[in-house]
Amino acid sequence: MKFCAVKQYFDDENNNNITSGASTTMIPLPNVESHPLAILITYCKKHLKIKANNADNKKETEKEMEQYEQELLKKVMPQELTELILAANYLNFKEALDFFCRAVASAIQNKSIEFVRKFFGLESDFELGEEEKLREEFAWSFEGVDED
Amino acid sequence: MKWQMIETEERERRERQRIERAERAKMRDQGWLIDVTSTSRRRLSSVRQNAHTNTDDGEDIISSLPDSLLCHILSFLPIRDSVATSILSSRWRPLWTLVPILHLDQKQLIEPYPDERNKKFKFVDIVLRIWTLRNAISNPTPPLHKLFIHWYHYCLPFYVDTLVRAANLRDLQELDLHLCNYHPHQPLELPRSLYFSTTLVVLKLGADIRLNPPSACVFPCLRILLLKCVTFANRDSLPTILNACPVLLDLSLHVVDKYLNNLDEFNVIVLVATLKRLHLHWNVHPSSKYIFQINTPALEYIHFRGYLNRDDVLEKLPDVVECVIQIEDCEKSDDYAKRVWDFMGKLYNVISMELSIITALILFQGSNHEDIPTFHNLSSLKFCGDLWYEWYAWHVVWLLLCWAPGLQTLVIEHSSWLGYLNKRNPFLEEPLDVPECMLSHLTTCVYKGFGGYENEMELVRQILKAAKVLKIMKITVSSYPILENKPHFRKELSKFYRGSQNCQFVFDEGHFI
Repeated sequence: MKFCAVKQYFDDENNNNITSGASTTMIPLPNVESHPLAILITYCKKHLKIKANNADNKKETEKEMEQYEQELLKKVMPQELTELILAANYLNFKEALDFFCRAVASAIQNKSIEFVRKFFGLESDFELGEEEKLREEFAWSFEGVDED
Repeated sequence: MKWQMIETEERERRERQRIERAERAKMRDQGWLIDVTSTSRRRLSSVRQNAHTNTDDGEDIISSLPDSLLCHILSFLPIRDSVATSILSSRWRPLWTLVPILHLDQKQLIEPYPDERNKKFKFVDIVLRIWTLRNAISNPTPPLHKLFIHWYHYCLPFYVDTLVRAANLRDLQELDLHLCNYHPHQPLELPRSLYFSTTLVVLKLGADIRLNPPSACVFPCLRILLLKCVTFANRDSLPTILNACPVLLDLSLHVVDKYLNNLDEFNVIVLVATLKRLHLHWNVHPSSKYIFQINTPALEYIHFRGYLNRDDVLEKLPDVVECVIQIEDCEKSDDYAKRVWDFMGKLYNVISMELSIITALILFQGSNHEDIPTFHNLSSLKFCGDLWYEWYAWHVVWLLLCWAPGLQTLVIEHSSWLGYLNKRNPFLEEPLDVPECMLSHLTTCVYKGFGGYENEMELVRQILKAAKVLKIMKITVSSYPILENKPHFRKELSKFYRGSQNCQFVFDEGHFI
């Protein structure tokens, strides 16, 4: 189910019997910027379209969807990913939320801590001694990490 | 004065944004390299390329997300990377422990797998370290929904026993254990409390695990059950577990007769009214005394692999729409072919079917008697395996098509490569009756694993000639051995006479696994 929060809004509207004859309803989405919303809507439409085209063939659907997702990620900046995740979460759009979270996870997978810090723009707030201790504790998890 | 400062700031900010936008546009135009080292990461690594634009100003892009979303991101990482994020900052320290999944796979955590004798950190060390840290960093211990332990080499079942007992069963929804024991005579016995879990939804157990369920055992929420080569304490062990699952939807059983040696009698009775999917790998030779009995009226999908014993029972499955059948041949049995036809007859409403070539050959041997069922609803049929295993295998496929009058899609997936292909197949030259589906329904035909041999060319030629309503004929080239001179074959194949006016011919040179 896509955009569950929006569907909820429609259901509530019908229950309240607000009939004004208007064909468009304005739905307030205070927590979503227009840019990520546009991307999410395109994602949703594309997903539904691909699904309709390949009604019987699940594998084809997955393949086409993967191709589209790869194209999409080339255009999206890391900063935008955060906005997209927040928007997808607010709208209760599970497929998009999982997809963008997986994208972030994949970006930092098998990378050194320095790279991840740079990528996220984080600064360490540990004291020097503390960080040394932690690095020792987690030494086994750094084996075989990619060179940047 | 203040107003001027604000104005300047505004101007500077707008200027910065303009520069950023220009840089972004430039990056997009330059195109991106794609990391080809791993297919699964290939598509997502373009995000990493974009990261270079962030490293210059070090803008924090992640801290605006709440903890729950950060944990959601961590849940997609392998455990090693997830744990490593503990060092990023003090906020990140406990986040990995809040992910309610522990996925401990020896293949993933030990590289190069499987030799861990010379390694500094062995699998058991890593598992214990992760477990202890998880309990130490967050207090109280965060709930665990999914526990996955695959331990293939130098397995110490006692440690697994400790961990399973320590995992709070109040929260556990998924348990997946595959253990290969160092001492083959001491399989792990699951703790008794597990058999009364009220939260377990998925239970998957493999290899050196011994099941000894108490008779009062109950799994009120269990939907998916997988038992692969486990040993059973007595002949009632399996029925007890199956009867304890009132909402079971998906059952996979892999039974090998050598693991049943301790039992005189072992009847696999699957009498589950709710079951929708069944995967039975019955590696039990017909000469043994073990049998199976399946009565699952709601079943929609069945995958059967193995031998058929004389006393095996399969009740009618009217709702099965998809099936995969890989029956092993048994030469010692006289009426084996009839047994196989009886089995197939229970799937009379099936819509999509996949058959191994060996199954097709057995069916062909028994195709002379009266009660051959017709599969009226069958619209997609796939043959998998070595098509040229026997000389007459293609002949067999052609004849079997006669029992699927409404067939729309035919797929032949040829897997291995044998020298027989070089010799001309005498069976291909015999004139054959054209199956009804070819004349009226067959619209799609796919041949995978094309190696350029004469027999294959002849096969394609015959299909193209006979199929009067064919819309697509797709041929995918085999990836091994590598086919030379592909354009030549494409040209030759596309020249064949087509019985159907609108037939499109597709020659796929891509990689085929």
